[in-house]
Amino acid sequence: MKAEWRIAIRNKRLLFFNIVVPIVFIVPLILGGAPGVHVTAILVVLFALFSTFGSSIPLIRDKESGLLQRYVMTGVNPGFLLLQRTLVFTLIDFLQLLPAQALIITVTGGNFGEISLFSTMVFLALIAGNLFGVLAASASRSIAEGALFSSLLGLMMIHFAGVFRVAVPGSFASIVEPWIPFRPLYLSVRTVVLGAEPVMGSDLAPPLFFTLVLIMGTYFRGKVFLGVTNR
Amino acid sequence: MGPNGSGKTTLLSALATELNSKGSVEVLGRSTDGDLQEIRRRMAFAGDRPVHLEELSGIENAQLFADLYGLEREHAKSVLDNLFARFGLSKVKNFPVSSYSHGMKKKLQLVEGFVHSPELMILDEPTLGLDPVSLEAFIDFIVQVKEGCVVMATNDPLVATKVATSVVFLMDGSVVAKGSPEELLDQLDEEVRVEIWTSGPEQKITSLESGGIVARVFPDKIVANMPADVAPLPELMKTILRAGFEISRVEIARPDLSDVFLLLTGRSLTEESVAARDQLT
Repeated sequence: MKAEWRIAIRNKRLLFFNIVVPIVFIVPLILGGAPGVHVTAILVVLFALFSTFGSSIPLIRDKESGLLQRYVMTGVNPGFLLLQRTLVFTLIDFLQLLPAQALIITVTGGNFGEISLFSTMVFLALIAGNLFGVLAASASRSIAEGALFSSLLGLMMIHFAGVFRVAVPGSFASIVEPWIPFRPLYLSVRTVVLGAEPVMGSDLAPPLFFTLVLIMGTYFRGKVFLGVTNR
Repeated sequence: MGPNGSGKTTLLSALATELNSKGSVEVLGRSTDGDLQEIRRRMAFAGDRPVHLEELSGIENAQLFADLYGLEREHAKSVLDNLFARFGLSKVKNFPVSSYSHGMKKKLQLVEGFVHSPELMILDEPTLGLDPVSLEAFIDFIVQVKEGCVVMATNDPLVATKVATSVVFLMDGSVVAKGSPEELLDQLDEEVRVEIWTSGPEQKITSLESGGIVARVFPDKIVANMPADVAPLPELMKTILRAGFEISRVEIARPDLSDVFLLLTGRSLTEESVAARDQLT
């Protein structure tokens, strides 16, 4: 939706903070000699929460004001509307995080293949993060609740993606871990920061399936997600 | 028309397919049990609270709705130019909506609603907050909407008389009366409304009776309907003075639809209905 682009560009203060804050956050982190595993975890948290907040807060704002209701009353498919906005939010997030990504790549080095893979994984994670944000927005009745649910959901997904610990083989965590959409992001950050093995096709399939389920759920149950009308 | 809590907004919400309730409504020949999106595309609903993207300009907000209705950019531009001019918003169309007054936001909401020439336009208190010039423009516009139908909730007797072909009085969720403004006004025979502006100590009485006339007592005036020759007026004024009021001004006006409502229900359009009072308590 063009409106989202316009708002993102017009709100210079927010634009500035969304671009500068990640950089300010990353510079001391990656130049400060912190252990690689910590740097990896913190970067994943930064990217993941950036996206869950990015979609949930504007959605709750528009839901509270009654604007979403007005959109739906034009006859537009609520699910399509949500997906359209999710895509735009994702693109905006991605562009706002480009300088931060460039900084990470510059400091850590890496060839073109690694850079491309890293950016692609960031983009996929942002899509999933924004869909989680929609989910959090649908359960929230205020911006404060939305912020709380977004961060909880985001952190829970980051945790299940295996960012904070190594899952014991055969445990519930080890079964869930490969399916979490933030997992490929984590693996690609590990590659860039720690020089670990790059993300493989087999690592991508389950998270992509999970993301597809989120997309379909958002589309088909858009009305309920929005909470603007039950019919 | 109906006082607060009479069910106007609920009825409009049901017609606009916005209400979540049992049962169904037939709108534009389609049941609300069926495809709501098809009905919504053919109509527009403007609630009593204008909501916009405040960061964007008026024209950008309106263009957004044109996009949602699927209008082509060039067609939308010409329609919007026309509508912005009609509602006196041309000069401010590039200003952010955050700088608009409440009345301007209401007008912008109407522009957004009419952009796709809906077959049915549902308006909830559209004239609240409009200045006199905009009110006249609104009335002219609604009268000229030939190709569509407008269903509107209003408690402004002037607006209802000028634009409505049919008026429905609602009270506590039920229809009290319906008919054209002329048919409803005919129920008052040859009466006039007399408004006697008063001052003085606060009185606790709500009505006064004099010579077969029952006058309603409001904080700053006393209102009574009487025959056009105003024969009972002198006696009524004496009664008012005896009750301790001071009279500052007397106005004689032709009765309007609010007087018909008062006659039929015994209540004023500005009162809250029983249902609303019950909800509050």
